[in-house]
Amino acid sequence: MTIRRGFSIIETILYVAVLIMIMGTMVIFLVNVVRRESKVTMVLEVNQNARFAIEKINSIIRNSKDATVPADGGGSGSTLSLTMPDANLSPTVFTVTNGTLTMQQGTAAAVPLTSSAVKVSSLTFTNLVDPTAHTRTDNQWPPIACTPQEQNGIWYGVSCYKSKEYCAGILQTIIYLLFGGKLGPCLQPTAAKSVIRMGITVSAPSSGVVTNDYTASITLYATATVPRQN
Amino acid sequence: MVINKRRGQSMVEIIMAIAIMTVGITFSVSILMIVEKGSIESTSEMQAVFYAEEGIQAVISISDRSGTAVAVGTYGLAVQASPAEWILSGTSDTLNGMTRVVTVSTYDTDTKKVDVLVTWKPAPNRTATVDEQVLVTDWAFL
Repeated sequence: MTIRRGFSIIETILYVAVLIMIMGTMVIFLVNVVRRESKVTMVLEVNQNARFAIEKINSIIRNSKDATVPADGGGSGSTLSLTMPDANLSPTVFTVTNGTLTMQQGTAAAVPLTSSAVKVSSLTFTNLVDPTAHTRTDNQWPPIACTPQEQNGIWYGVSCYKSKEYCAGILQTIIYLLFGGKLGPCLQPTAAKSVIRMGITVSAPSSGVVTNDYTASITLYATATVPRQN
Repeated sequence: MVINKRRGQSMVEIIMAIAIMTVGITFSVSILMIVEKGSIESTSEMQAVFYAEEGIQAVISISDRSGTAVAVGTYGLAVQASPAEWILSGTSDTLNGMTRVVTVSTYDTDTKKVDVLVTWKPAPNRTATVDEQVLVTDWAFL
């Protein structure tokens, strides 16, 4: 029976070598994990900010009355100014200040819509409505010529903008009976007040990020229409 | 009674331990790489979804102007300079490697079915698509 106490120098060196190998691998592994994790976080942060920003602007456009900036007929710029049904929220202005998208409603202070962790590197709005090319008038007066048409026992004006909602009615029928269908106060829907195309590019700032070899960036486009009934 | 009292590990045990650890690390790294790839691909997926949704909204704005402008066929979308508005043009349009095709088919007398298909390649050997549909009604013909 042999009892050996302690380690020989060879054993110690061997253990230390193995330990260094294992530790080295672990460190490389952990650095890798941290880098990839920060990259994924960065991508998600950038994506979420872009998505939130564009959906917020989209929903506000759809609830607005009109877009005053950029101008109708193809005006474009990095600022969007909307007239809102609620006077207290008018105008609602979206713009980029120092890489942050801000929204200002009425006289309230501007609020940021994107986090400080990301940078809005580009924001464009284009107003795709031509007021001269496609104007239709609401409540047209004097009445324009209408040739009513019967459908399911109801008379509809058809030669103006032929919508049940806008041209139907008892008045239409009475006028038809009186004037032989040549005149009618056709209510015509107006063209959309504004069709806004927007594009936003959100990227992660290069500083303060562990990964230098990759910059997360996303560009999203959307088109939203200001409804004519607002 | 013979007592064979060996303390510590044999070389074989150490090699075994290292091998198991290597397998474990390789496995975790590959999972991380998949997650990373997925998050980067989610960027192009989100862009595609917005691109398709914009196509839907653009077609609605065209139909809004004139119901007859949305006729049966296959189109691309473009922004016309004068008058400034969305128009159907060509057979497809592209943006950052994504192709958008608008297909208009008849749904019923006054209604058209609009299908917006966005196709892109997240990797050289793979094709991904986003498909959105909407029905547009030409109120002028009701």
